[in-house]
Amino acid sequence: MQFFAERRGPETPAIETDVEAIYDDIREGRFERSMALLAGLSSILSGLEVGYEHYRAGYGNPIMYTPVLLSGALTGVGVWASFGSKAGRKALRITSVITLLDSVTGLYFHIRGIQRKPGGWRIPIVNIVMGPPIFAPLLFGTSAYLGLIGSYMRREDAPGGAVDVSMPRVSGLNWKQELREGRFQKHVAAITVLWSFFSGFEAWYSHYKNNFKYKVQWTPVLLTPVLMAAAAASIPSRTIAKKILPAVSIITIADGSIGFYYHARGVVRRPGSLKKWIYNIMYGPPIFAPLLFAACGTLGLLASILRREPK
Amino acid sequence: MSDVETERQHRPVDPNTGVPLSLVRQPGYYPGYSTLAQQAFWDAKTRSVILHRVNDTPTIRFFNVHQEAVMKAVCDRIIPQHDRDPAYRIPIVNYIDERLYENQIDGYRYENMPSDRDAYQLAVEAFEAIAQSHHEHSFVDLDAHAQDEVLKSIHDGNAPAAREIWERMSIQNFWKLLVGDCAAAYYSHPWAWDEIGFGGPAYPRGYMRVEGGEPEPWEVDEVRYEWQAPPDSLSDVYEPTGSGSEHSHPGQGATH
Repeated sequence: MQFFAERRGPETPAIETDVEAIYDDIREGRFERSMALLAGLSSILSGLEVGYEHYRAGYGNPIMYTPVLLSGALTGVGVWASFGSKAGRKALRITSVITLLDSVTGLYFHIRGIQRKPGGWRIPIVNIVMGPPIFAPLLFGTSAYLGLIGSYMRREDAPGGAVDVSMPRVSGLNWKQELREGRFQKHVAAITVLWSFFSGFEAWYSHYKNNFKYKVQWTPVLLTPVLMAAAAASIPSRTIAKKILPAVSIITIADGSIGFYYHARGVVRRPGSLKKWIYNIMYGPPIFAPLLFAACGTLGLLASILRREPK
Repeated sequence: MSDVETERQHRPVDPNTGVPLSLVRQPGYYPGYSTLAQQAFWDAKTRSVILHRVNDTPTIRFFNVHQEAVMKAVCDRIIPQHDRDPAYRIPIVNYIDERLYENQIDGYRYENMPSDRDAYQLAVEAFEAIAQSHHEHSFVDLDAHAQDEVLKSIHDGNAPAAREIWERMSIQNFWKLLVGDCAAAYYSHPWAWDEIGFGGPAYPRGYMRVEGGEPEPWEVDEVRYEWQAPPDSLSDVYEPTGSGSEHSHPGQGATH
């Protein structure tokens, strides 16, 4: 937080100014370092998730190692970039692009995996439920997306205010410029629509697999269309982006966190409990999946803070 | 024996009113459940095997007319189906006959047993001999209670007649053969699967709710009802197995 503190005025209470400073930084696209750190840390979670899921599937295809290796690499370069290194920033961008490509490749392999199950697409529901999780590879790409965005931002201690003075203002559509200035609200809102659909769909069929045994399993399924609608409406409407989207996003983050608790409890409640923790994490409820759902809320929250693209 | 009033007596009864349960197309605790309704999810070979089982009842080729009649009466007591609508009864004897005609055997034989074919032919003689010696009628013409007594004497391993037959054939092993064949024929039929809520062929779809006892989406909830065996049946008589009987359940002492 040292880079925020430098700009703090002498009279205002420290915490309040910090929050405002962070808010301003995000609005103005000056949060490259925290974004890189966020990408790196969230990559640990998705790496663990994909690690045990692919372990469970026996790494039957060598390509299944790639997301595990890439998530480790992304964590490394994310942390590196968060120290403000220019080389780290470049590495973060490259690693993020490779990871995004890997995640699209993963989508292909997961679709093929479902198709290859006995009955294939003739038995879609059971094979989606029992086959490789169809949208998981795209959700895995979330941290890479954050990393890629982050690599185009300005550092928290970048000079200048709302407008980046270091770059000549090009009239028209210069997306790099807009990213640098935090003017990409509609873009993140659109990504939020897509990602919450993927995550909500995963929640729907996984909970359907469990016959919605607990009523709380309906919450992500019901929350998904609400978040999607709020994020979609944020594209044309600034008011919804500023007033409704943050509220829905915070509810989503809270729901994801509650889900994380329930999934962890589900793991602990399995026979053998923590004594067989590896086995129980592998075969119990996917422990980090609710956090991926919460990550969609984080994207929505990010969108609501950002500035809108110039007309 | 086949007249409606006698049939009615053979049905299980409501324990509160003592009234026989009504005839149903599908007895059991899973009303509306149909394995055959899931046939779109089977592979083509499985589907053809099972539809053949339902639609093409094998004709009697091994038993002669008399043996067929005795075996029908016997199987009607081993697995009674009087609560089933006559159009939905499972032709157990036809499947046993098919097995014997095609000589589909287990691949092994107890040393105190003749071949399966000979065993059934000897057994029909034995059923008749016991029925004649005690009731002076053919097994087919006995009432249900007397038929149960004849079968129970074999189950208990102390048949009162046909000693020369039981010297050539182990009475316990024949009982196991008979009950095993009846159960195999009955429970390989989709109508019996509907009765017990069994899912039928699991390939290629399989099961997805494998934990916590949750039903699959295509299964139905269990709806239990009370019933008692019909009054003329011996099947509800409680009898502890194990130490009490020396022969009838080898290896099962104290397991129930």
